[in-house]
Amino acid sequence: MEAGIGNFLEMFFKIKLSGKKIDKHLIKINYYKKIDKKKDIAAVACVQRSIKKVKSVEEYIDILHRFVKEAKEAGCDFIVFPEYNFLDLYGIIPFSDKIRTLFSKNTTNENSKCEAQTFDKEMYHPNLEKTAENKELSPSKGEDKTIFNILYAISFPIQSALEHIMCSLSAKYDIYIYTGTYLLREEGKLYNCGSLISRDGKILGRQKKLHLTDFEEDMNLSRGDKLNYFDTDIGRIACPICMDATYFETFKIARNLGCDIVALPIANNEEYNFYRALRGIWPRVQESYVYGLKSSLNGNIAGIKFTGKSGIFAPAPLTEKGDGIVNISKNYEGDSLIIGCIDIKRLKAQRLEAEYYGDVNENFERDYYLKTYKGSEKNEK
Amino acid sequence: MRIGAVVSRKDDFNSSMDKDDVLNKILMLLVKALYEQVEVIVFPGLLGCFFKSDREYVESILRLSIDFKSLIICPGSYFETLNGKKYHSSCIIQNGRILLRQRQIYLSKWEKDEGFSRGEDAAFVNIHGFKTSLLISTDLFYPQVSRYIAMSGADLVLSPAAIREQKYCFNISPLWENVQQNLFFGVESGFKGSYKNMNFNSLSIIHAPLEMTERENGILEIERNNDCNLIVANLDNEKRKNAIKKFDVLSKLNIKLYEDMLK
Repeated sequence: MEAGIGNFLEMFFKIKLSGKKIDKHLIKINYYKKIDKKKDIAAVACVQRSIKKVKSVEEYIDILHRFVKEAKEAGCDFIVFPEYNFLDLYGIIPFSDKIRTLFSKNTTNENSKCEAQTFDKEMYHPNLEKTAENKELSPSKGEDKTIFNILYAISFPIQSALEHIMCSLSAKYDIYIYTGTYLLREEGKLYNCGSLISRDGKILGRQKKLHLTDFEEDMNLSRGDKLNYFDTDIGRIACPICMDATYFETFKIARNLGCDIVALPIANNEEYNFYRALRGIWPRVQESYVYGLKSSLNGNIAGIKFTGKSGIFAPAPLTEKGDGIVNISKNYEGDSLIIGCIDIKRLKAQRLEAEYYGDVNENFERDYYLKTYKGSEKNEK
Repeated sequence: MRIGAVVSRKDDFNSSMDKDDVLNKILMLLVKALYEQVEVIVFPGLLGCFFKSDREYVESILRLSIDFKSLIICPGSYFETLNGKKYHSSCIIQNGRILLRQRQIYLSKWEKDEGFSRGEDAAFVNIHGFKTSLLISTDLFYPQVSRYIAMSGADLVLSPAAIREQKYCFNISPLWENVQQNLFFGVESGFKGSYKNMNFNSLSIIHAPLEMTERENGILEIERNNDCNLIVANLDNEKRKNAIKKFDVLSKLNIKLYEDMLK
């Protein structure tokens, strides 16, 4: 019965989000003429957008397209979309409102506490057993099983559709796109994951979320075990996700990999608090001397409210007011596109001048991993 | 535990002062701390540099501390010389005894130019049930130090700070960042003024995890534009532990990921 619902929904979403439908809609968009990209200063854009439950993939494409078009018209080289960038597609699920009512009793209003903590709790089962290699996931409770199967079933069609749309938009607009995150189904596990797409519409790579929230752990999402880097003509980029910015280690590794830009999609399901928001990407950028590009998902879905400001951050000496902010959204709700310039050459020069950056203490660092983290592995979730 | 951080105004302490003037100021602050029922007091970074030597400074504070038996004193930071090497150091003193010594682990650009050496480890001492460590000036900018301290189980970090021309954004100091990603208490006393033609401008702030602070800003007490030269706060360790339950950062570490981080 459950498998039947899952199979039906997967098939349903494959049809609703088919490549043919996507191509048919995207064909109306004209190509932009490519220009020489070798330059030290790049323009970047961070999307801040509200979730809008859509009834068709065409509606969804139009939402994404509007931001990409606006970014390109402003001369941007790179646009970043937020975490859980697919929640709008929840509206495609048949009788989604009824599903919500049916399972609303399972929703708890858990406060999130960090740059991230996410998301539509009604869509996930909280007590799944881990099934590392088993592709047939089997949660225990009947009604929750249905919810989980919905999610599991629709993950692949949504990932395919999102990547297909973004690859087409990248190629048409000659712009790097970070897709925002989706759920990646891999060897029976689900990951919170995003893709970086090149100017010519090719997937440069994917990045799984490395640090999960309580809620994501409860949903039995798995975490990634490697931070990747992506070479582009505007600089080397890492794309950790939301909660990953709570940890200095993420940005330290990004710098070790030679990254100058860190793109960070977020989706915070809590009331906005300036200081909570400030303990994510902003201090990490100050510590690690990189540019930080934050894209926030906002709005309401299934009774859950998301807030957060998108922004572009830099080491304080590189910013006009000396506050580490290149540009930031005025509001923590609603749609906006935050645009700013990043100057990698200047960033590299600033690293050399920085009073409090770049020192190495070989004696302290020699056994750092063992003396710091060993012993806490048993407590690691 | 009741804790105090000395607030220095610009040039409160400066190189033209006689050492007895400096000691008198310190004495007045210790009396005030006692009056305020403070159990631990932190002095600003670089304070010992206005004495002829680190030994002279530390010995002076050791003598003073005997008259304030119950008060635990972090006398700020000073330049320690040993076997031809120079370190930026601090310590914790009580009743004529040094409870803990600490050398700064990382160096700023100016400290490298001045030929300083680096400390190699962080030390800990138990103060009224709080596992306590020192984080000296430049180490505030190297989050691997505070992570090591936190993973060693520290409840409290004392920070004598002297940061060059630091512009504070949103009243946030580097210690704020370290406290929020490690969830210990952090007490910093900042030096303001000049030393060897360099300007320093650090704030005095008492930090806590923001889940336990009244305005959810991570600040228990901060210096203000008034004449107050000592800020004081009560540190409730149980309250802090409850705050950690709400947002347990360290339980979410992805330890395997960090294996080659500092290699």
